[in-house]
Order: sequence, then C-alpha cells, then structure tokens
Amino acid sequence: MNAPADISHPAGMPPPAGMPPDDPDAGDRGGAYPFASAIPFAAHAAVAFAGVGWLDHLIASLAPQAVKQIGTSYLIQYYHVPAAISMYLFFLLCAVAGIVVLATGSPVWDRRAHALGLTALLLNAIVLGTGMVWGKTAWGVWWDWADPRLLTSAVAFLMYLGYSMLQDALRDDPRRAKFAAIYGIVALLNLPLVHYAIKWFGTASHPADVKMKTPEISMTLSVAMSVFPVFWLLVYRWVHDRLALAARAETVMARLRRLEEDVR
Amino acid sequence: MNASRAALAALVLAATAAPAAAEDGAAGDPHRWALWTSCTVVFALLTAFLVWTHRRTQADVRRLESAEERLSRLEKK
Repeated sequence: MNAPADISHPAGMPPPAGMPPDDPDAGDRGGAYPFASAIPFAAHAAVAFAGVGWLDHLIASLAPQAVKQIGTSYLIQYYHVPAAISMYLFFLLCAVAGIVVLATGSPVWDRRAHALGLTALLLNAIVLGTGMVWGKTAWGVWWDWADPRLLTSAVAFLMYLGYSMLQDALRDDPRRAKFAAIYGIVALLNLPLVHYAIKWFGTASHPADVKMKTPEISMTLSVAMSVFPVFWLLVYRWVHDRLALAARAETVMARLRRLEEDVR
Repeated sequence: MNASRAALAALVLAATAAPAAAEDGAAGDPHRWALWTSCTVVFALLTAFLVWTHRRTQADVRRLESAEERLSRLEKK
C-alpha cells in the first residue's frame, strides 16, 4: 500500500487547481491524505515491534520451566488472552467514538468508530480461532455450544460482523453514521456478558481464570497485555487511513459530479 | 512498514508455521501442534485482513486518480 504521493499535496499548502480545499476532517494528522506523517507512523511501528521483541525474550527465558508444568501449548495464552483484552478495549473505544459521533456528528470520529469496529472484529476472530485450537488440545473438542464464554464470544463476532455490514450497506445513506454509532453502543452491551459469562452462567469447558503458576509467567502475560494493544492500534491506524482515503475519494467524486453538471 | 508489506510478512509467518503444525500433528505432539496451528490461524487471519485493507485502498487510490484526470479534462474545456 504505497502512499498516493502523485495525487497528494503538502498539508497546509493550497490544493492544486480543480482539487477541493483541505478538509480538516479528511485525516487525523493534519494532512490532506493519509500516510502523510511517515515519522510518527514509523515511531509507532517501532514501539509495537520492539515491545513484541521484548515479549519474545521474556517468553524464551521462562518457557522451559513453564513447559514442564503445563505443556508447550500454554504459550497460546500469551496471544489469546492479550487478543481478548485488546478486543474488549476496541469494543469499548468503538462505543465511545459512537457516543462522540452522536454528540457532535463529527465525520472524523465516525471514521475512528468504523476502524475500531473492524479491528475489534479481526481481534474477535483471532480470539475465537486460537481459543478453538487451544480447546481442541485442552478439552478434546473444537467447540462447546454449552459453554457461555464461547457462545457470548461468538455472538459478539456476529454482532460486529453486522456492524461492518451495516457500514457497507448504508455507505451512501446520510443516516449511516448515526445508525452505526447507535449499533456500536448497543453492541457494547454484550461485552459484560462475554467477560462475566463464567461468573454469571457457570462454565462447561472454558476455565474461569487462567491461574498463573509463577510470578515470571504472570509478569510475561502482563507485558503481553501491555504490548499487544499497541500493535493492534497500528492495525487500526492502517484501517483508519484507508477509510480517510475513501472519504477523500468520495469528496473529490462529489465535487467532480457537480462540476460535470455545471459544464453540461 | 505499510499494510501490504505487513500482509506479506504475516503470510510468510503463516506459511512457516503451517508445516510445523502438520509435522507436530503427524508426530502426535498435541501441545506443539496446538501452538503452531494457532500461530498459523493468527497470521492467516491477519494476512487476510491486511490484504482486504490493501485491495480496498488501491481501489480508492484508482478512484482518486480517475477523478483527478476527469477534473483536469474539465478544466481544459
């Protein structure tokens, strides 16, 4: 995905003839087009990947001890649990962005909410996928419909799949932002059900909480839960930049249509 | 790094993890099989998501380029 340098112009400079003026809502970082701020982007990427590298080092240093206690598959928890925590975070942020959209009507926050919802959907798929593989090893089954944690997680996936489909289906509808914001807020109501499913409804297969065997494992999991949201924010940023570019394309196309009508 | 390169990296990682998962599965080691299979799942999902993002971005770039050409022709008129 290369920066569309051939069609952009520097932030703060007047646009080329025929191009619409800079829209402050077209991007979050002051540029008329996404990917304008390469240095902050690279810094974000560096922090995310350095954090993952540090995590790898911690895992490698304690793995032999933990493998003896639990088995190699316990390493899955280092990305299954942080992915679940990140998923919670993105669900929450998506709803918060939706509240801001309802309060202000800001297209910037609308794009943020959309990108957060899509990233949360990816995280939900990763949580379900890695959980199923872990379940196959731990419980001998890929899926257990009687387990409330699994069921509510699957419902959350379907809800955010619906959120994504709603965004696409109402693409040209002026009410899209409002409907999507309300949907994102309502969908958040499922989050406590996912988190407290085992406490409220009991468990068939999924453990209530993963008990840490040693302080080292606990610390490494804490690092993983701190680092992974940074990485997923990077993914969110890619998605957000695409949505900003799409919005820019819509703006230019609308202006073009008006000009073509004037010429006729 | 941008999304297309990240997608390529994720694809390479998925392709690396999958044979290891198959090998451990064949060897009857469920723990190692689970670890490699879940790695493959994560990187495959990430790849699919980033490729989808990349393709839609490229489509938006083409729309912008096309619009700019049409604007340029209109100005000449």
